[in-house]
Amino acid sequence: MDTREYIRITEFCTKYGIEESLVLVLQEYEVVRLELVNNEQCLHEQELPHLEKMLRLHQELEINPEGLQAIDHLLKRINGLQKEVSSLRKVLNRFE
Amino acid sequence: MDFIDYYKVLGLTKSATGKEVKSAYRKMARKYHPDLNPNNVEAEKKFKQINEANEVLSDPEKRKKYDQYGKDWQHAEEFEKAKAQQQSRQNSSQRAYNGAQGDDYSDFFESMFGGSGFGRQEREVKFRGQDFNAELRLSLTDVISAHKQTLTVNGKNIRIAIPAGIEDGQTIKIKGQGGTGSSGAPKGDLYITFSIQNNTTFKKVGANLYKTIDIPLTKAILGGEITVETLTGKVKLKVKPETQNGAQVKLKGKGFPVYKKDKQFGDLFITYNIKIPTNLTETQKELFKQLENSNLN
Repeated sequence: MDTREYIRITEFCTKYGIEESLVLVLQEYEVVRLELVNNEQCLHEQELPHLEKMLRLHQELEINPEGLQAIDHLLKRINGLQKEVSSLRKVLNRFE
Repeated sequence: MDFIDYYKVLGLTKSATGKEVKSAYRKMARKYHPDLNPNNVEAEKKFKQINEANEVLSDPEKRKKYDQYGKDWQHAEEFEKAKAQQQSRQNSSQRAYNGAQGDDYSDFFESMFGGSGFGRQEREVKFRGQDFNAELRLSLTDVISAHKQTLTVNGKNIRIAIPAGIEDGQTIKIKGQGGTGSSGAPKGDLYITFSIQNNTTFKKVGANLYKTIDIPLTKAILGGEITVETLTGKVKLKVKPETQNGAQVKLKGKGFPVYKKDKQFGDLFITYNIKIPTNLTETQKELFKQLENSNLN
């Protein structure tokens, strides 16, 4: 496991000026996935944009963790449907 | 440059209260937020309009100006021009610089309220810089008096003042010496934790110092003068006649400096350990026998 790819939650929270408990609640609601690295809660760097997006929604739109969980779920569905539409369009183009 | 009806953007009438503006903005922002509308250019455009409308209508001063010149915004431009002429060159150049950053705003907004330097809120999220932690190892004798020291933290030299009497494990904060903040946010702070090694023969409890010294039996019985080592040098101390083993004397103000209290020091406590003589000569033994027979208690 390359620890350079992981960001310690304590460090992340200090940098973003947020409470560590908020990130832990988001983990509880399965909005964000944390991993234990060297006995410390860490975030994989690939998860960073997703967590930043959720924090933006929380801070800018005052959406609570329950709301974020629902949004996260629906956004994943939208993303899947958009991909499906895109591939169907490609197939359809062949018949046009 | 088209006139933008900010009330219409938020679905409000001109009589809308501040609370209604806030509520309408929240409702629409949730609908058009770019994070909730991935790959939707129209939603992004609409979100910018909503933000712009909120920025004007939620600020009483801007709203007043907008209400006054709104539809006849050309007049507002003239008004602004006249106002700008009265302002100093410095202010003008500052605004021009800030204006360059406000690409997200409509021309209409720019013409009425200038660039981002015109009391406009930064929409970019700002994050304070990271705090740095460092440990500084010093000897007890290093912190008897205040001094300055240069530290290298993350390749940067920082000169700090170390106050006299700082305790082992104590942490001090150096404001603004941490990581750089994003988007102009303030820098983080530097926290220095002191590790103080006791390189003296004194035991330290708070600002008080303790030491046990040996004194000869004869001096303890007859009294006399001894020389005692303190943190700042040697002092002469009078030993009272008939001093008991384990007796303690206090040397006021000869202890450790009290942290951040100028010219205030703890005390030095000296405990006497009376040394019983060994390898006595026959004569000395005879003298002790005489003492024994003299009903000495």
